[in-house]
Amino acid sequence: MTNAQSMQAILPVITLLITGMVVLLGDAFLPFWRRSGVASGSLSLLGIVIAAGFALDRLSHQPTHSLAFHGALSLGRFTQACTLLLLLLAGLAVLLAVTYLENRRLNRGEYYTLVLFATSGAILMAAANDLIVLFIAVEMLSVALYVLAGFARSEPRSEEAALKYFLLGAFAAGFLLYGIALIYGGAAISGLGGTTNLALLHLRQGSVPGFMTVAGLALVLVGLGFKAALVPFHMWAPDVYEGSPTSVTGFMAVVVKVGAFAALMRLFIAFAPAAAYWLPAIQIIAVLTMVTGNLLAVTQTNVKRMLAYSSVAHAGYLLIAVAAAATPAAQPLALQAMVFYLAAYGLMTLGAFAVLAWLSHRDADCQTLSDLRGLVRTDPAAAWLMVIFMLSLGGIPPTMGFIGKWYLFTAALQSHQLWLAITLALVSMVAVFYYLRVVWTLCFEEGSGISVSRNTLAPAGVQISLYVAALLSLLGGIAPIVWQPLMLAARSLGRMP
Amino acid sequence: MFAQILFWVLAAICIISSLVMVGSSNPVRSALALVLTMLSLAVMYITLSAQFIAAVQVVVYAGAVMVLFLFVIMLLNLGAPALPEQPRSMQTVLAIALAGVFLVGLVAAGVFQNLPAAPISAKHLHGLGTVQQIGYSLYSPHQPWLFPFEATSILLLIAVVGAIVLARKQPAETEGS
Repeated sequence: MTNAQSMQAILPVITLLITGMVVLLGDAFLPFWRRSGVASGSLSLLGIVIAAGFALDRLSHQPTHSLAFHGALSLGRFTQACTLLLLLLAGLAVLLAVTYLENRRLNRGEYYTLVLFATSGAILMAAANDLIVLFIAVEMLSVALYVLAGFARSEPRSEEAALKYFLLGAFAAGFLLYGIALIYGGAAISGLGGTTNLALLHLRQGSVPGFMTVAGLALVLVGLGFKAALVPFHMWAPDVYEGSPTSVTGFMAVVVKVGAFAALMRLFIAFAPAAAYWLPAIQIIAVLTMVTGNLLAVTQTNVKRMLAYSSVAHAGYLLIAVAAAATPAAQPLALQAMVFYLAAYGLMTLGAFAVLAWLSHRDADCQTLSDLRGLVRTDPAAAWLMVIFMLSLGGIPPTMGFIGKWYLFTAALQSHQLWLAITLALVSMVAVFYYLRVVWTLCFEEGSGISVSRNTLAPAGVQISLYVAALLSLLGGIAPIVWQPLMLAARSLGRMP
Repeated sequence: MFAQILFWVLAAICIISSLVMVGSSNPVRSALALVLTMLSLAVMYITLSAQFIAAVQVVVYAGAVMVLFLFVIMLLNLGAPALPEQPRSMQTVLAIALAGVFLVGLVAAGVFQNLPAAPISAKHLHGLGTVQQIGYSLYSPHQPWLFPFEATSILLLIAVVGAIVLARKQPAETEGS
């Protein structure tokens, strides 16, 4: 693509960035804007919808050549599918934030600007064909999230979350960068010319990579694994998820996962010819992540912490797709399974956090199991929605979580990694226990949970977000065909020139 | 020959000053030792004919970042803190052990994995690290680097907005909403 065509192809990102800047300026200079309380949120939503329009338009044309900006980005159909998914999740997160922030008196324009910038960072992560672009995209996402985690500045827990996330994130960024440098050096040493371009690395990849390339790949895995909360690098997740404002936690939990897994997938598919060198590491980390995440989630009494460990466990499930992609024959199915599971995970997790945000009000932040006690009598709508999301997270049919696990299971079988599939099935049973405990607390436990004297200022936003998430995830379970266009688009990275 | 001698001298300065930085109990002394490490690295970049990186190293790291460090140290008025002499904890032992493993790994990699000591001589590199070359690469519309360069500006904008969000006074209390 020429540069002009490339600009046209990344219109979704440009739209998000411009919207973010307009929100920032409007909030700073127009007094009525700030007083209205919903102007920033609605404008952000408009920007997201327009960006999604551009992405849809691009998805409907089959591009012949997907590399943009001379190989910096790969804007094929896989990228467009991830973009659409990210925009959907970001839109839901914005809707849910308007109500929550207003109730917590945190409603400021910068929030939406940072959400939009973080989303464009995640889109660029999914699109990055060059490791240097990947690094900048990771930082765009992360820096915005560090700030968002500390957005509730009056609360020490929020500040702690921001600081912890920032320090560990900066540490992980060092690993990522060092790994990229080693991969460049590895390519230079093997006499093929140093490059960080994944498409070129793929073309020049023999089945026996040099020592530096393997070491670099390992370090990049550490850096991205930190972002995706894979097991040896997951320590930050519970504290950060618990301390951040609930609307931020929901956004963070889903958007980072989509970006990080799209990037992991692209990276490891580029090195697929050398799969013998990285596949064992991925398999071991996947098993560790699944087991540890699920076992630690069992003991939690704080729902936000429980969901944090559950998101660690889901990262383990998603890693199965990356492992399956090592087998070329299973690649389309693995890509498809990953995108579907990311959609399922995103909707359920965002939905669960949206329920918590809905129940929180000015004086109380709803986050422990005892807050949810007997909710089905005091607030049936919220309780039933939570039940749907919990069953879906547990992978109980007929929900989207079940279908997603099924796809991952088939992908693992198709690539002949039987024991990954077995582990997935076994730990899913452990997972059902703690998700059902939430359902039990909601429906059968006596006593009073959080008071439901809800602030009625702008409840519409979070409700719309909740119902859309619940509807889409139920539809995905009953008739997965509605997700078919997205999955077909995701079948191939479509970038080899 | 001269380059060899220069390298060993610089390497010695670099290692000793970084050891001083870690070991010193006085934060100001630590910071100044770090400046020395950064400067010796900058000279090493010049011997590799990477003038641009050397200049950036001096301006950004040895200059701006270190001034920031010193400002913070002086503002917080940190003298040499009277740290209680801790018995050698598990952490120290573990850190030394891990560092040892890493060192052995690096040496083994150099010896057994045939890592070339210097794949490209400095003569080859001549002209590669000049400001002119880097400018061509960054701004040429036929190179992939224009996009990440522009994306960096967004990253900086995010950092600025974030710093203001986290640092300014909270308006919520004063507005009385």
